[in-house]
Amino acid sequence: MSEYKGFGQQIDQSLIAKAQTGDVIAMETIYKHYAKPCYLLAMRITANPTASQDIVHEVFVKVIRKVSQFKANGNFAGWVRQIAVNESIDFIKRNTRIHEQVEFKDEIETTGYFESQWWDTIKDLDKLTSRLSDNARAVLFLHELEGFSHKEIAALFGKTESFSKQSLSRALNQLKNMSAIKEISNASH
Amino acid sequence: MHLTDNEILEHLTNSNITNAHLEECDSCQRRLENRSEFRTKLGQSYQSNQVQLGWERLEEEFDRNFHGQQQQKMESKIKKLQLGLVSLAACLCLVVLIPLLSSNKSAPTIESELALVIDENHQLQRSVELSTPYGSLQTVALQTLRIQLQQIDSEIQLSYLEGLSKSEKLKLWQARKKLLVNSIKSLNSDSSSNTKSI
Repeated sequence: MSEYKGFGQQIDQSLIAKAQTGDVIAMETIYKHYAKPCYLLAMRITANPTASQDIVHEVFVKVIRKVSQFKANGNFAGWVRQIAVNESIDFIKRNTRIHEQVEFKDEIETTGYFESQWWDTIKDLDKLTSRLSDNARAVLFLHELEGFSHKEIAALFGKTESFSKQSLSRALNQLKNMSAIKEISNASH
Repeated sequence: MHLTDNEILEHLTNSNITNAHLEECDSCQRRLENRSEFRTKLGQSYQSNQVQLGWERLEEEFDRNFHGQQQQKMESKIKKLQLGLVSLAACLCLVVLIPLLSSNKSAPTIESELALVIDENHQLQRSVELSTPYGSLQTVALQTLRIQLQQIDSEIQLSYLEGLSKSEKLKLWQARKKLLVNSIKSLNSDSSSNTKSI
């Protein structure tokens, strides 16, 4: 596997052209470039290693089937990332419990999330984020890491912007509370 | 009034909203920096996960898909070729069959018409032969008719000998019929005028 650079790494156009003509080596190289970023993205959204491996497989099945339709002037890494996001969200939608899908109506205005660096005490952020609800975790990573706007997230989930905003607030609130509990528990030990 | 958490969260995607306040508020600037730190921390999550990703399963998919596509293209070409050949054959059939069908359709008409006109000629000639001329004018007219009939008969015979088309033979037989009809009409009018004068 190549050194990890995420979706920021662009591959040579000629490699894509070769893959489009059925060059298996070229496609394998593309896979090696983007499989880990896809896995990482899927893990962050789903927090499920098995599902993430399946998502990576599905993403590349789609890449293989549609690579011939990819236009030469497009952003290939962005295209692969979008497929990975869609696959991950689809997984979340299929597996989210019904009560989690209820949208909040009121937006609570807070000023407390970034007063302090409460996350400094968290040693295992992966573990805490995996305890968040599926929607809250997905929105947290899509908004804070992948740079999706609330509008874009709402479109991905087929819901309103309010759903995205509330899910993000919920995620931050839960993380902050969990870190406080963990801090108390560490102090007591 | 300090920025809300939502405004801090939107800062990187919508910076215009918060810029004015941030320039003069240290507290909000710190919160924004903290948020940036949080994003960095979040960006480290799951990085250490080691996973074995298998290309082998996908290689089969790739082979199946690509060769499937090639096969589909080939099949589509063959289908197009087959369709082209069928169309060509259909066109040829039309080119060959339409004249045949039209000739078959018109053939019985000409033949039957010919048979009919020959029969009419025989009947008309019989009626002329049975008629008795009144006076010298009718005798001369009958003689003239016979000569004209001989001429047209020889033309008809010649058309059969030379193997002219049925339509041309038909024309000759129709001309013969016309001659007979006209002669009979003129003979009848002459005989009626003679009867009147008597």
